Parts: sequence; C-alpha cells; structure tokens
Amino acid sequence: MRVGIVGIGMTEFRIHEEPFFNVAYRAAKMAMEDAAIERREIDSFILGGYDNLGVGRTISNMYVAPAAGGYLRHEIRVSDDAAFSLPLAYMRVKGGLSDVAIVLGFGHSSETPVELVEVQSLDPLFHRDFKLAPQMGYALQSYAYRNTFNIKDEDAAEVVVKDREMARKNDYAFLQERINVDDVLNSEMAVYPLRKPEIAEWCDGCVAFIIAEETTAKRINPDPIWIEGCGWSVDNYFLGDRELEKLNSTKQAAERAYKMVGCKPADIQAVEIMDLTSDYHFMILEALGFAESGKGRELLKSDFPANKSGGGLCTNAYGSTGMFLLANLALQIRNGEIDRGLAQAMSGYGQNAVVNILGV
Amino acid sequence: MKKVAVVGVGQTKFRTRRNDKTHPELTFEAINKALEHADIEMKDIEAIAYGTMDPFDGIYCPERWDVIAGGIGKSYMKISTGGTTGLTTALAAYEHVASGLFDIAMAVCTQRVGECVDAQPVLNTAVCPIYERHSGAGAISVAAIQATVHMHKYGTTEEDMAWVSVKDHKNALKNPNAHIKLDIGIEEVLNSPMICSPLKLLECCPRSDGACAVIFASEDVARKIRDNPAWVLGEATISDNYFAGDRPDLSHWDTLSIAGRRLFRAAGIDDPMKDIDVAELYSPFTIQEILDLEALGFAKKGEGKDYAREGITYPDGKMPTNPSGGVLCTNPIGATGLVRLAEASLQVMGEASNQIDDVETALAHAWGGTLQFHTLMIVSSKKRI
Repeated sequence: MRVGIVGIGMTEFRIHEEPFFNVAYRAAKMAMEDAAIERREIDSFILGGYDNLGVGRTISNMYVAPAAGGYLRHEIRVSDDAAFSLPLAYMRVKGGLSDVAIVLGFGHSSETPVELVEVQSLDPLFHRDFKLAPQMGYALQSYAYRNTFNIKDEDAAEVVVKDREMARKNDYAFLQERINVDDVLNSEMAVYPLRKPEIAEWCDGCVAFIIAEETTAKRINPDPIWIEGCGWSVDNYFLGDRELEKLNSTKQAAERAYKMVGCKPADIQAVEIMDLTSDYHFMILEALGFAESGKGRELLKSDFPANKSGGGLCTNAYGSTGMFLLANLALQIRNGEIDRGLAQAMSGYGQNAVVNILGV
Repeated sequence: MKKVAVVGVGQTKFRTRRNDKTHPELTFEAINKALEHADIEMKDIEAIAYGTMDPFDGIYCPERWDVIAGGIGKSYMKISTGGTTGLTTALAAYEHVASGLFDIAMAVCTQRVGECVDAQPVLNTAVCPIYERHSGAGAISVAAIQATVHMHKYGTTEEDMAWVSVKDHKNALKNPNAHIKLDIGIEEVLNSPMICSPLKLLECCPRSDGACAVIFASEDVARKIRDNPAWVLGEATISDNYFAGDRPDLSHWDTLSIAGRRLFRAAGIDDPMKDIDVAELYSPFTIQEILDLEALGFAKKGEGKDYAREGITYPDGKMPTNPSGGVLCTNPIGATGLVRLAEASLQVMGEASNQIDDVETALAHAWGGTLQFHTLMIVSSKKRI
C-alpha cells in the first residue's frame, strides 16, 4: 500500500503580525480546498514545529491543533522541523491507523529571539558558556569545510546568487532581492567566514499536506504525489566529536530513504535542500551522494536541479522550513516538471536530519 | 497492520531533584533498565521516539543532548504534546513498528521538573496570551474548577476526593520508583494545606525528575524476546478546543469519553469494567481520577466519587486503579504518560511491583494541555480480546 499527497496548502512566508493560529488555519484550509475535501473527512492531525521558547508558547500544538481542524480528532506533534512529521504521518497511514491525515508545519520565529533560544539548547556543563548561537555553529562548520576542501569565498557566494535567482521566481519565498557575487563578498561579515547574505534570515509561515492511503488517495486526487521513501538520523551532540566538514546525519538519512525507494542518487531529478548557509548547500549535496566530499561546488556550474524554491537560504521559518521545501518539491512533481525528487531538512547545527523522496 | 507488543520497560527512581545525574545520564539509566528487562542490546534498537516537555527542563530541545545516551546514528524523532507527551511518544514508537518500517523501536521520555522554579507559571504560557493567560490558568487551577463543578453537580465531598489520595499513597509505598511515599489516612489529607480550593496539598501531584523507556517489537521479534509480551490492542488520541472557556461542562470529561469509545471499539472492548482488569490513569489531582473513571465508563456519571471510599479502585477491588501510586505520587510531566504504559505493561506481564491478580488487559491514559488533550493505549496478554 502506498501513501500519497493529495492536497497542498502554503501561506506566504514573511513576518506575520496576526495571531498565529490564523496563519495555521489558512494553510490547513488551503490544503483541504486543494484536495477538495472537508475537515470531517480527515481522521488524523500530525503537526510539526517547535515548542515554548521557539514559538513563544508552551505546548504549541494547543493552539495549532484546533486551527488545523483537529477538534475532537487524533492529534500529535513532532517537536522539530516539520519535515520530520511527514514520516510520522506516513507510518500512521501505512500502519492502517489512519485513512486520511493532515500534516501541518508551523514556524513562528518572529515571536522569539531564536538566537537566544537556541543557546538554551546547549548543555549547561560544557557548551552553554560558549553562547554558541546557531549562526556561530554554522560558521564553525563553514570554516572547517572551506579549510578542508579549499573552498573560495567566491564559490560560496555563488550559492547565494543562485538561490536568490530561484527565489525571485517563487511567490512563496521570503527573500527575493537580486544579489550578485560582489554584493555578497562586499557585505558585512556576520560570523567568520560567513557574510550576512550567506546565512538564512528568520521568517514565519505554515504549510499543510493532506495525505491518504493509496485507494483513498486515488479517489481524492487522480494524480497523487507518492511518498516513496523517508529516512532520518541523528549525529553526535558534541560539536567537538563531529566531523564538522561533513553532515553525517544527512548522509545516513539519505541512505535510508534511497534504500526504502530502491533507488540511487542518479535517479533523483530535483532536490530541495535546507541550505541555511552557503556552505551547507555544498555539504548537503555531498552528503546526499550527488558529489564527492569537497566537490559540491562543481554542481553549481552544471545546472544541477537544486532549490528551485530558493532553498532554505531564502526562506527559513524556524520549524516549517523543511515542509516549505517539501511543498515546493511536490509542486514541481504536480506540474509535471519531474517524476521523482528529494527534500532534505535538518536541525541543531545539522545534528538531526530527515530526507523524504516524493514521486509520481 | 502489524501486531506490536511491549517487550521491555525501564524506569528510573523519581525524586524532587535527581542532582546525581545529568539529563542524558537519566535517559541512559531508563534505557539501560529497559534493555536489561528485554534482555537485548542497544544495537538491536532501530528507532527511537524521544519525548519531553522542554520548558520544565532548564534546557531547550534536550533530545539533542540526550542522543548521547544511545541514539547516535539511529532514526530518532522528538515528540512533545504537553502532559500527554509520554503516551504520544509511545504511540509514535508503536507506529514505527506497526507501519512495518521497523521491527524494534523504543520510546524514551526524560523530564526534570525540578529544574524549573514552578511548573504552574510555565503551563500558564501555554494558554492564549490575548484571552486567557491573565486568568492564571495552569493545571491546578483548571483541576480546582473541575472539582468545584463536580461537587456542585453531584454532591461530591472533600472527603470523597481525599479517599483517592489515601488509596494512591498506600499503593505508592509498594512502588520502588515512586516519588512520594507516605502512609497517610483520610485526616492527614483533609488537614493538609489548601493549595487551590478545594484541592489540598496531599491531593496534588509532586514535581518529579526521572525517565522512562518502553521497547516495542513486531510480532515475530516480540515472541523471541519474551514469553509474556504486552500486546498493544489499540490507541486513541483526541484534541479539544484551545480555549478552556469554550468547553461546555467541566464536570464531565466528554473528550475523554469520545476517545475512550473509539479506543474500546478498535480494541474489541464491550464493557470496560468487565474487559479491563487494571487502569493506570493520569490523575495528578484527586478529582481527576473520579472524572477519568466516569468518562471511561468504569463508573456512571456522578458515582466515581464513591469508588475509592468503597474500595472499588483498591488493588483488591473490582476496578484496580493506579496500583503504582499513580500521578498523584509521581509526576515527571513529559514522562508521566509513558510511566502509565510501563506500569500497565508490567501488570499484563505479571511483573508489577504492586501486581494485581490475573491481569489480562490494562489501560494507560494521559491528559495534557490544560485539559485539551487525551491519549489512551490498551495492552493485553492476548493479541485480541
């Protein structure tokens, strides 16, 4: 039995000033309208997004579940990037526990100072005194990557230029201003070696999918987008114990997803990746198996189909970024541009990673 | 759907503060005990569902740190849903196996409520900042409203509720992991300090540090691991409205009734009083055991108040409830739901510290989110009722 995506709803990704349950409601409503089904036809509500400090409210599914339509229904929340909630929903449907489910990702980073929040994720014994904001962790990895593989600043700047060009054509993307390599190289240094445009900015937004088991999916939508493979993994917590120039959890997640599909990287026609920094773009593509270590930059010159959405670098709603990438991938499949694609997401300086493969 | 069973259970000792161990060390302790109980090794575990309520812990996203307790390189997913977290984490791990993607998955929950100054202001940040936060709503205040309404509607007395406390505290004396161990009588409960009228100190749960782990396995694997697995017969989760003010009648837990009916139908339970031998219910406040019993059909509406006083919910009664001492004596909030399933599973396996005679089927329950959520699971020594 396969599990298919039959409805997609996506809000604008920007800073939302209104009560955030309205934004979650809009994404859910759009997904239901897209699938042409009513709330009462959905039996399970699988949410994805951060909690308390990350979105300003403890038990954040309390306000998101009813907004998604979950009143008197099965409800659960994955407390991580929402891309992790797709495998959970997949398993519920695959296990025969649900016929039609909604997966809703919410990211409300404007509610909190995310840098300060993430510092609280550092253990109080060894790491917290370093006050490593996410951007500082990213910079450690970028430094290690550039140093190990002799990556030039110009190479990394090209990623920003390319993602922005893509984002300019995507109405849902957050950052859409054109930028060139010189602009990037002459911009303010944020955390060495990363300049300001090389690090994703925070925004808010919600994404919802309606998913269903195979028979029901075909009744709802003659052309479902099938969830072909899911893989997720986690790396060591201690940065000092990790290979900073590599993303091992993404590599393992990808291997599991490929195995589930029975495919290899060459069978993937497009990817959406959570490149929250310029260097991550290369590191993720390498971890996914599209290039050898240190050779990811060569893909930029070969028109490798990565991040038609503009990627994580242009749209980063803390908590729903992975679902944003998944939705953009699903739309490429729905529009007939590709038959099979991959979306990657990660959290905690690349410690946790998830890879989902969608196809026709 | 694949048949799934609980094959291993591990709990730490629960205390006000577990300063002897760090967050991952507590997790490690629970994981090790579960592995020992199942007589398997960490390399046998394919996936982990991790649960906690971050705001109590003094660390954000503690699952990242706790991965060093054994999760590195595994399929690792974090669940958080308020007070139901423990059981929804169990549900997620169960779904890992029921889907056929994994043969062995572990649910592990760690919570250090002792790290926060007070749990109630933390819970207050869950409610709507525009409409309800100023009311000071938290777990105790909403439970006190439930008690007041039940007293008004059914004539429930302070003494009726106090008997629940006496029963739970007597049960906790037999549980080596329980947090509060007091041999108390009805007078001690009634004379304890008022916390939030009409609930008194000995009618309110403690704030506990500790961890719990439960291992799920597919049918073939479960049979190889142990002779007495606890088969999962069904699960249910439900969400109410976000706004407490929009809930029509706090004297009844109607969402729990709805979830219960769905669960019983899925599990093939006709008469819960007859078909369920023991219940581990999430009742951090005495009134809530009464409401739980009524909502789940163990008692008629308005009659749950008599159960503890008449001995019905005692270990030798007709409907043994919380033989572990329950949430009233041990509440590591984000792990509490998983402790309910762990204790229910041990009852089914015949290995509980306060074992009820001839248990075949046991119910585990958790509520969360200022009365908004419920999660339920049924385990049995038989694969079907």
